[in-house]
Amino acid sequence: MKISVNGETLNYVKVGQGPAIVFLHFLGGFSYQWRHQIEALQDRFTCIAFDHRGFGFSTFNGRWDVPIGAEDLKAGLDALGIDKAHVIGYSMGGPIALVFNSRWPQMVRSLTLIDTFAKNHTHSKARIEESEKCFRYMSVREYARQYIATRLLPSTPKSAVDELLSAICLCEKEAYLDVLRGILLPDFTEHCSKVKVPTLVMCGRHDLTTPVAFTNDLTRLIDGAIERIIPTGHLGCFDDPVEFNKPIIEFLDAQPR
Amino acid sequence: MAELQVAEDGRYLGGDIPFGYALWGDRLVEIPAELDACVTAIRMVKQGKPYPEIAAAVRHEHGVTLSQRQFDSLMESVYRRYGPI
Repeated sequence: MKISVNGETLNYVKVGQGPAIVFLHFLGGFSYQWRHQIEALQDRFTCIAFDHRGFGFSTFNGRWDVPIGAEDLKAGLDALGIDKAHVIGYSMGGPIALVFNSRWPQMVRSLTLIDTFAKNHTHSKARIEESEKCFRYMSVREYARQYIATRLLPSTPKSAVDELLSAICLCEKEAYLDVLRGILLPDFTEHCSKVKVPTLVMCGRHDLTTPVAFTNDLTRLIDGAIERIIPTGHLGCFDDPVEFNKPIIEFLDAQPR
Repeated sequence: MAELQVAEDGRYLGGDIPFGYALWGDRLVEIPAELDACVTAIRMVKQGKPYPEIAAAVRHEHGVTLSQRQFDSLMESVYRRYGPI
C-alpha cells in the first residue's frame, strides 16, 4: 500500500486490530523485515510498518535526515488516522523514534529501542567517508555483500543472508549515505530526557555495530527504561527471530490497552 | 600503497586498484570471482582465521590469489566502512 507524504510516496503495511504499533526498520531494510513481529502481534495490535524514504518500495525524491524521518512518520500516521502508537525503532529507527517522541510526545504510547544509540561515537566520520568513496565505484549489491559478511553470525541461516542482500539492493545509494550522515554524526542524547513513556531498550550481545555499551547509555539516559540483552548480533531479527521477539512481545503485552 | 582516488561520477583518478576490480578505461569494473573471494575473506576474518589460511581458502574456493597487501587493503577499507567485525 502507498501513501503520499512530504513529497514522497511511502510504501507501508497495516494489519491487525487493537492499539497501534508502528515499526521503524534498520538501515538497508524495509517493512518486510518486520513480518515475524507483525505475525506475532497482529491478533491484538494494529501493526503498521513504513518503508523509510529511499528504502524498500518508497521513493527518494528529496533528502533524508532524522528530523525528516520523524516528519515522514508523523505525516504517515496522520494519513492513516492513527493518533497514538507504540513506537519501535530498530538501529536507524531509534533516533527517528527519539526525535518523533520529542516533537509529538502525545502520539507515543511506549518506545522500544533496538540495537540503537543516543550517540554513535565510534568511527562515524571514517565510516561515512569510506562509504562515500566506495559507493562511487561499488554496486549496492557488493557493498551489501561485504557488509553482511561482517554483521551476521556464522549460525545465521543462508536464507536470511539472501533476504538481507535483496533488501539492501532495493535502497538508493544517496539514501543510504544520507542515513549514515544523518544518524552517525548528530548527538541525540538531549532527546532521551524527554522520554516519559514506558521504554524497552534491547541489544544483541554480539552486536558490533551498536554495541551493548550504547544500549547501556540509553538505559541510563531514559528514566525507567527496561534493558534486555539477547544472544544475537546487530541484526537479531535475522540471527534468531524467536529470541528477538521475546522481549518485544513481553513488553508490549504488559502495556495498558 | 597509494590510496585509491575516485571522482564523484565514478571515474578512476589514481591509486591502488581495489581487490575485486579491474581498470577498464577510466572505470573500475567488477571481477566476480575476486568479489566472492572478498566475502569469503571477511567471513574468515570474523571467525578469527589468519591470512595464510584465508589466502589458501580463496585460492581453493575461488581460484584467485589474494596477496597480503591486497588483503590488508581490503580489510582496512572494510574496517573503515563497517567498524569492528
